[in-house]
Amino acid sequence: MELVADNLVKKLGKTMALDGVSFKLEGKGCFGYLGPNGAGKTTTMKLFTNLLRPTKGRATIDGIDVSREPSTALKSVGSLVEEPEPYNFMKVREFMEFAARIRERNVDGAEMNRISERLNLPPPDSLCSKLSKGLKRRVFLAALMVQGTDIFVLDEPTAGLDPAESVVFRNIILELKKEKLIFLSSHLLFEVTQVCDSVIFLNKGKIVETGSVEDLTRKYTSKAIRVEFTERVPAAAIERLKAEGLVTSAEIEGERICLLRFDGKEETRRKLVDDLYPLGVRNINDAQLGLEQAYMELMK
Amino acid sequence: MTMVKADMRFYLHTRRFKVILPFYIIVALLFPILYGTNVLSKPLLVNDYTASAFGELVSFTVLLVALLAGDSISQDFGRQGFFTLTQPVRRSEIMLARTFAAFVFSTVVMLVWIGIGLATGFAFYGAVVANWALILVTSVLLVGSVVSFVVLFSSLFKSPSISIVICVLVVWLVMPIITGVLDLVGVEPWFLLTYASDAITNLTAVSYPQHFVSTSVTEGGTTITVSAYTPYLWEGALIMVAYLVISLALAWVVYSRKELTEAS
Repeated sequence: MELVADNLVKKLGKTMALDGVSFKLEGKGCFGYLGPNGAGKTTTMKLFTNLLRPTKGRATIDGIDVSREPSTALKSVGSLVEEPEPYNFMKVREFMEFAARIRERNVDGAEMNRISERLNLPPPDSLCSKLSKGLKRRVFLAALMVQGTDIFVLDEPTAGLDPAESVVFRNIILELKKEKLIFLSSHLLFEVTQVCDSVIFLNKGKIVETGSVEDLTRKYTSKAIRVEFTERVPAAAIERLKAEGLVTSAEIEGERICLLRFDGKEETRRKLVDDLYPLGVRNINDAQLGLEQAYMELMK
Repeated sequence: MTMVKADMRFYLHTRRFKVILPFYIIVALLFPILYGTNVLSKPLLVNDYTASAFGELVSFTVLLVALLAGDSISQDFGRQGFFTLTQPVRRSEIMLARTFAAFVFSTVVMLVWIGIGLATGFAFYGAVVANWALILVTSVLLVGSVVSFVVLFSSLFKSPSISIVICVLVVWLVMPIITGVLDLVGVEPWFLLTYASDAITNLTAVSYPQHFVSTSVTEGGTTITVSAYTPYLWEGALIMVAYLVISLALAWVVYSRKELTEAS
């Protein structure tokens, strides 16, 4: 189970959608792909599913170049990119059976029933064209599950779903990632924190940061402290700390609480704490900003 | 085989085949009913009757196939493509499956249409045209070439309705105009599908027409010469085969290189 982006470049018209993106995802687990709209997330997903061809570079699945040997490379990949639809003229069970057969898989009725129950699908003889957007997406996910691939490429799988449906999807992803490789793009940072093990941050077609969710959370969290003063926030003193370069920015969050960002060095942190205590401090904590903070800083 | 079965199921499950078949049956029965009820007077010979029944064969075939298969490829340029094109199936297989299914169902409608023409001819005259078997065979060939032609247009446009309209306009309007111009300058329109399809209506004649006829008309001192070509049977069949092969090859080239930059 391996997905490799090797210096991927993709131009869409005059726009450079991807500009030399390289990464390697290996083994089971869930890998998040984060970035703002237009960062190139969907473009990358499309390159891994043969919906687009790279201008330069290679997207390979288990060592096989997707654009050169798509029908071989895609054997191990099930994907949900943009807003796919099951075949509208088919019934729910028919579509699931078709999805299995197209991958030369025999899935027995019991397995179909198990997946249908797990995803709370509509009755098997429901026509796909009559289903709501959320149900269509569930049917689509069911089709992916009966296909039994080792790798899943999921492009914002919970976009447009109601909260209950999103929970179903997230639980399925948590279950699948125990045995499969999942490459997931999302705008929802809490979702990524919940289901992903590692994250790649993408901005303007370039990778700006990679790492495990834990490491990134630690790295970006350590750049800020939240200070609770015994009295009103001493604005003048904070301005002095900024002028001295100890604090890069300050946000007053309440009458007595203030968030101070700094360069992240332990030495700076220690000096800051020493300078702050004489001002009347009740409490100082590392700010728990996690991925959201990382996202905001990286997308600047 | 899985793709072929799915595409066959598409025509069986959707309304379009169930609507188009009765529509073509009604249209095919229209003139026989008018003849049978003496609203119109019947032609004298079964050959003339059959010729009038199959007079617009290519136009009706193009309309039929465009309505049945106009979206055969362009359907993948929308949301459904995010499923179909991400499966480990060659695009050539997908295209051939769609083409085959469209061919089968178009042929069914066409054979019913021709069958009605021949059967009502037999009912009125107690005989069918001598070349009925050849008419059936070349008509099936015509359906094949038109299906390929429509598939080519379907691969060129994202919108099924645009591909259907343009394809129909090319055959109903552009090709006849080209034929008219070429008749005036005395050039054989050997590259036109409409010209090739004349071979089928020619088979209804008592004797197959001459390949080339030239007529001069003098009026007010000016002489205008109009040439009219008629395809040999082999020539018509060859043009149809060429359309079938070339259109399908071009459609494959376009479809296999198509990228899904956005969903419709």
